Amino acid sequence: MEQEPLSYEEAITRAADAIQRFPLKDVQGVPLMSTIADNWKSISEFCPDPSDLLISTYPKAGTTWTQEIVDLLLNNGDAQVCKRAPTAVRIPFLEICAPPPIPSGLELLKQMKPPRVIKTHLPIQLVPVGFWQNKCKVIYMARNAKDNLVSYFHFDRMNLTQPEPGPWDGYIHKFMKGQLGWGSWYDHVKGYWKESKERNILYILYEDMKENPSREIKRIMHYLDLSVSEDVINKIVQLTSFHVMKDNPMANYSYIPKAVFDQSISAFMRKGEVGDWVNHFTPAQSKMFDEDYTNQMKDVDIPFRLNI
Amino acid sequence: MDIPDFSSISSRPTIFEFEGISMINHFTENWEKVKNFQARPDDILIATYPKAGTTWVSYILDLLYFGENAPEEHTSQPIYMRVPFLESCFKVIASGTELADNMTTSPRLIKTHLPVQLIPKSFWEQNSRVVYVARNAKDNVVSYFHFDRMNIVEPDPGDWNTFLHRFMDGKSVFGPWYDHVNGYWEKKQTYSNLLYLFYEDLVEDTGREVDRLCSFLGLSTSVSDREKITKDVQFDAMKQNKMTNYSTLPVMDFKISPFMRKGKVGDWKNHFTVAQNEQFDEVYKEKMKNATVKFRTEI
Repeated sequence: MEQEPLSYEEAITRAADAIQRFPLKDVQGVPLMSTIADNWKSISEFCPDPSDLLISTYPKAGTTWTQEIVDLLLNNGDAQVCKRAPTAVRIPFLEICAPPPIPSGLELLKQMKPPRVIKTHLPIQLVPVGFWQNKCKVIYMARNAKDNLVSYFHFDRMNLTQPEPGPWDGYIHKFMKGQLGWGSWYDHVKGYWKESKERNILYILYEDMKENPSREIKRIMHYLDLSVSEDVINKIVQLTSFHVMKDNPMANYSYIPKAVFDQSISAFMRKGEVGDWVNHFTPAQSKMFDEDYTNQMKDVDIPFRLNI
Repeated sequence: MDIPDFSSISSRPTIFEFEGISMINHFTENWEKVKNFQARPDDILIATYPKAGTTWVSYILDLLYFGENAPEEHTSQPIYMRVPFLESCFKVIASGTELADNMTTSPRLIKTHLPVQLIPKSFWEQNSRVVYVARNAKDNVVSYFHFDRMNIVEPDPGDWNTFLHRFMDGKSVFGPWYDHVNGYWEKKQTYSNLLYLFYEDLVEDTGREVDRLCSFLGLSTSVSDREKITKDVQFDAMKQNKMTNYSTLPVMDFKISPFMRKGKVGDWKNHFTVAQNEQFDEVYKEKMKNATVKFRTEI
């Protein structure tokens, strides 16, 4: 008798003993989880279908939010259809590799027929070339550095597959030096920004989405050549609001066991605010960060906002 | 030197309202004697809000008056025995009033954290000299927080945010910082024997402030002595000095935080978050709107 395939949740539960805070390994100058680095060849050779859509972000910049918006747009705002499976199954995470029996992103993608929606945190220079060769659409969401850093810090505290974040003050310095998983925030946001015109990348800012979700969802809709009614847009705004998503078990990662995501340390969906950095940075840290930021971002003019 | 035995003090005290300010039992249990304390015309009262430079000025004055005459005292007697803490009453050590009453030296140097309205009236009647040291609120609250963390005779500070809000609400031990610094500033206008010093000025130019103290007290200390004193009272020297760094007091856990921690101006920038700073500034502006005393939060 053929064994029924494991559900994603069950696979993670079974792999819990093999979960550890995986060290970072260098891949072409970018620190990535060792499990990703060890499988780099197959990841870099992934060949998407021209109909595939890539959602790219620096970690903790609104990835899950964008995924949910896109899934709802593609399904005309049908909340039930979008609860067919957890986010990680509906929209696989391209480069993720975890201990068996957890399926890797590539394995999940193999089981899906195009058009697929794919998530990545890879900086632009590490995105498999097939995405550019096949002229795939790419949505990039960026979040202001200070809030992004705060969110990543709390995420690293609770995600037991990420390196130990250590104290807040030291973490700020790691961020500034690009020593966190997926590398430098500065290079990441600049890389996609500089290529956005050339490569037809839709570049969205987290703060804009927070300020006026309806407007930004329409931008995504037009980019995807979709047409949904105003009512559906309003419905999507409501379904992708922070509080609704925080309570949505298919989007809030509550199915991930405590041995992997310890949400008693910090919730996966923590605050989702713009400007929470003011509750973490001291004036001294803020001043130092700003000076370094000015230097690292002097070659671009991305209109980030620290509050709205 | 006998180290006082504080082992009987095992739990932290709780705050209660006393004479209109927040207090703890260690500073109220001897209140009748404090209130009726007999000051002398040559007494020098060193008054500060807690953690505003009390020990620093105490040691400067101690050296100015007794550095030459009784140098052995400075190596055998800790500062808290040489400069009694007027309102203190710890049971296991002589109370502040008792220590002061038994002092044979003249002038008596006496320390207090009491707000101006609670100073025993005898000090004003005797026209005693008062040296008040004020420190900017932000650095003061940071220093007070670390002090309360390491000192078991103080109430449990809780986390930084809780402590900060308690300070802003004026519920810290010895009452609101705002009223404290303003009270003495106002008193200065009508009581000529009060010298008002700023911690920030002391950090910026200790020698200059020692000169101010000398002229206020009518001391003709030589330039070389003043220079030596200025050197001896620098933060690092006092931090190393067992007679001034409170390392002889077992109630303080230096592993948590040393009594002499940083002694800097502007360290608040490493503790306040940007949000706390904005909130603090708003409250400060409101509480100090009628005040004429001005502070520096950096130098």
